[in-house]
Amino acid sequence: MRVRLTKFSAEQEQDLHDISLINTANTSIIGTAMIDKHAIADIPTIHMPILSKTAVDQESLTQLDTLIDTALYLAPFGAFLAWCLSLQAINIRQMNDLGLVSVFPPLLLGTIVFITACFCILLYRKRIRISALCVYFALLIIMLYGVNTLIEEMPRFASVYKHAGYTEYIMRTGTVDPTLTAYFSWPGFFSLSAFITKIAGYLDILNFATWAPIFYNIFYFGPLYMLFTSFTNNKRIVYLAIWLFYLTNWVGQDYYSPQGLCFFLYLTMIAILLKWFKTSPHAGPNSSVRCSPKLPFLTGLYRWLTAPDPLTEPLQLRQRYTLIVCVIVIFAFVVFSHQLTPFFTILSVFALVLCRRCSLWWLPLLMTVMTVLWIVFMSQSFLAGHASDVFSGFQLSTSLSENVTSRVAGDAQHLFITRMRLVMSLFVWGCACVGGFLRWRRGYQDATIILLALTPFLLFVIQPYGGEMLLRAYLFSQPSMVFLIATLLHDVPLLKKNSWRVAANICLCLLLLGGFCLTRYGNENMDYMTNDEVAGVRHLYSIAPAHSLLLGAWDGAPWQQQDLEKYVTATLPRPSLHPQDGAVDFSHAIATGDTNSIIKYIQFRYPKQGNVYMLFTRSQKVMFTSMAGFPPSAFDHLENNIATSGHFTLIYSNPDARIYQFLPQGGTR
Amino acid sequence: MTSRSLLHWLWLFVVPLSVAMVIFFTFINPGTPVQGITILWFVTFCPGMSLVPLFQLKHFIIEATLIIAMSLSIDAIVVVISLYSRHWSPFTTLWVLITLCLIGSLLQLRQRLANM
Repeated sequence: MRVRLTKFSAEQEQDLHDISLINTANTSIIGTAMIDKHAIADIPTIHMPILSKTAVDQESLTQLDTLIDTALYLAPFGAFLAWCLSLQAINIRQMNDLGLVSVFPPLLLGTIVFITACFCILLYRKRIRISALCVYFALLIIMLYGVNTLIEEMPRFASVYKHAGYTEYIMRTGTVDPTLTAYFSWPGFFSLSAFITKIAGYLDILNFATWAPIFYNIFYFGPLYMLFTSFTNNKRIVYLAIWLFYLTNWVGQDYYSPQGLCFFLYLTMIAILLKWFKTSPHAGPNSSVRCSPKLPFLTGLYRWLTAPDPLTEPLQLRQRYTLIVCVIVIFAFVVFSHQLTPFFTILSVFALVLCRRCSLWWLPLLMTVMTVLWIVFMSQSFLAGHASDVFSGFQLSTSLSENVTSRVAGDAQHLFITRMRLVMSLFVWGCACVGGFLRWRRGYQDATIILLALTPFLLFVIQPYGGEMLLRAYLFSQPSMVFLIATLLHDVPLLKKNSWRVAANICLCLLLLGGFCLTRYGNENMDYMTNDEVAGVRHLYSIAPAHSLLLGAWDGAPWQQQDLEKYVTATLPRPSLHPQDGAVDFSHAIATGDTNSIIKYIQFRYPKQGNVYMLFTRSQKVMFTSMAGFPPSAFDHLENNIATSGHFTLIYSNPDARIYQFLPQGGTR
Repeated sequence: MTSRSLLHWLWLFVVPLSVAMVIFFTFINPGTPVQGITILWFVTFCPGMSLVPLFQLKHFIIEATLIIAMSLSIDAIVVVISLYSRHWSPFTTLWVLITLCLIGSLLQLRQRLANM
C-alpha cells in the first residue's frame, strides 16, 4: 500500500490540529483544551493525511523566508513613519460632508492599505509571530482610531462636552441629581470619571478624553482574543477576526462614554463565560424534551442549538468561584453605569443558558434581579418620566423609522455617507451569513456564535432608543459577525492554495477598509470641534449669570461642559424643556428665517428668565446643513435675521462662534 | 526560576511600586504632568493586578483583560459607594483603593511563598 506524504501549509496544519483534537479517542487534554469525542460527534469525519515533519520544523525556513519575515517585521514601522509624516499634509478646515476622507492625503490611505496587506501576508506565513502581530495591531489601532486625536484641535463630538459637564458636576458637588439628566440615574462611569479627574489633578476630562478611542480599542483586544479562542483553536482565524473587528467598528461608540467602556466589560463577561463556563461536552442533548416527529426541522434546530461546544478549558473549583465573582462584580459596574448594556448582557447570557451553551443557569436570573433592583430603587426619577418609552412593547416600525428611514436625510454628501453605512452593515452581515452557512455545511456547531450575533437585534425590535438602537445592535453583534467573516475565506474550497487565500483576504480587508474610512470618518465635519468654538462656549459660561437661558441655534455645539444645574439649555430643534408643552416645531421658522416665532416663544415660555443668550457655532451650522435637509444658506439667513431683528445684540464673536444676547423689549444695547 | 515565574514575581512588586509612585506624585509632589499618568496607570491596572494573579490563570492576555476589567469595576464600586453614602472624597477613596491593592499584594506574596 502506498502512503502519500503531503506537505501542508501552516494553516492546514492548524486545521489538522483541530481535527486531530476532534479525533482523539475519548477525552484527551492537549495543551489547555479539553476535548471530548462525544461532544463533537456531529463534526464530519475528515480524511486524515499524514503530516510531513518538515512542515512544522523551524529550521526548514529558507534564507528567503527569513528575509521576508524580517521585512514583514520592519514594514509596519516604515508605514507608520510615512503615516505620521502624511498627517502634516492634512488641512482639516477643507473637510466637506464626506468627512475626513475628503482631506486625507493619498499617502495616508496608502500606508493603511500597505499595513493591512502586510498583515494578511504575515498571518499566513508558516509560523505565526505573535510579537509581530502585536506590533501590527498596535499600529493599526493608532492609525485608524488615533488620527482624529492627532489632527484635531479639541476633543471631538458634542456628547464628550456633555459628559465633561456631568463629570464636573460630580467633582464640584460630590452628589448626583437625577432630575438634571437621565445619566445621573446610572452614575458609575461619571463618578469614576470625576474621581480620576480630581486625583489626577486635571480641571476637566477634556485633557484625556480625546485619547479614549485608542485606549478603548486596545482594551477590546483582550476579550476579543478570549472570545475567539473559545470559538476555535485556529489562531489565524482568531487574529484575522480581531483585525476585521477593527476594520468594521465604524459605529464610533468608543468615544469617552459609558457605552464605550461597558462594551469592553460586556465582551469580558461573555468571554469569561464562554472560556470557562461552557456546558460540559459530556452533557449531550437534553433528553427531557421530546421532539415531535411531525416537525423534523425543529428537532434538528433544537439539536443544533443545544449541541455542546467541543472546546472547553479545565478549571479548578477555586478558580471557578473567583471567576464567577469577577463576572458579578463587572456586571454590577455595568448595571450602574449604563442603561442599555445590562440588557444586551442579560439577553446574551440568557440565550446561552437557554440553549445550554453556558452552565451557570442562575446567572441571567441574578443579572435580571440586579438590573431591576437598580432601575426600581435608584433610577425612579428617570422611570417616572420615561415609563411609557421603556415599557411600550414591540416597536419594530418605530425602530425602523427612527433607526433607518429618518437617518437617510440631509444633503447629498451626508446621504451618501448614510447609505454607505447601511451598505457596509449589510455587507458585514451578508458576509457573516455566508461564512456561517459554509461552516454549517462543514459540520461546525456554531450555535454559540449565531446566538451572540442575533440576540442584540431583539432589543432593536423592542426599543428604538432614540434612533440609535441599530447602531448598538450592530456593535454588540459585531464580534460574532467578524468571526464568521474571518472563517469565510478559510472555508472556501476554491482557496486551497495559501497565496490565493492571502490575496482573497487582502481584497476583503481592503474592501472593508474602504467602507470603514467612509463610514467611520463620514460625520467628522459635524463632530470636529475647533478651539474657537470651545473658546466661544467658555466665554458664554463666563458671562452668563446663573439661571440664564442658553439657546442653541441647532444641535452639535460643544457646550454643557460646566455648571449643569445653573443654566437652562435648549436648542431650536428641541426648544421645549417641558414635556407638557407638547412638540414645538421651528422648522418653518428656521427654513424661512422667521425670527418672530422664536422671539414670541422665548417671551412666552421663559418670561422669568433674566438673561437669554443665543449661540451660533461652526459645528451647529455643519449639522444644520448636512443633516437637517435645509438649504445651506438658511442657517446664515437665520443668524442674519436674528442679528437684525432688534431683539438680539451680538456680544461675542470669533470665526467659529457668535453669542447674541436677547433684549426682551427690543431696541439696541 | 523560569522566565514565567520571574514575570509573576515582578508583577507582585509592580503594585507596591505603583502605590509608592501614586503617594509621591499625589500627596508629596502634586501638580506635575506625571501625576495624571501615574493615577491613570494606578486606577486602570493596580486593583486588578493585586487580585487577578491570585486566580493563577497563567495566560498573559487573559490576565491582562481581567486586570483592566476588575480594576475599573472595583474603582467604580468603591467610588459609587462613597457617592451614595454622601462621603464623596476622592482622596479618601484613593486611600481605600491603595489599601485594597496592598492587601491583594500581601495575599499574592503569601500564595507565592506557600507554592515555593
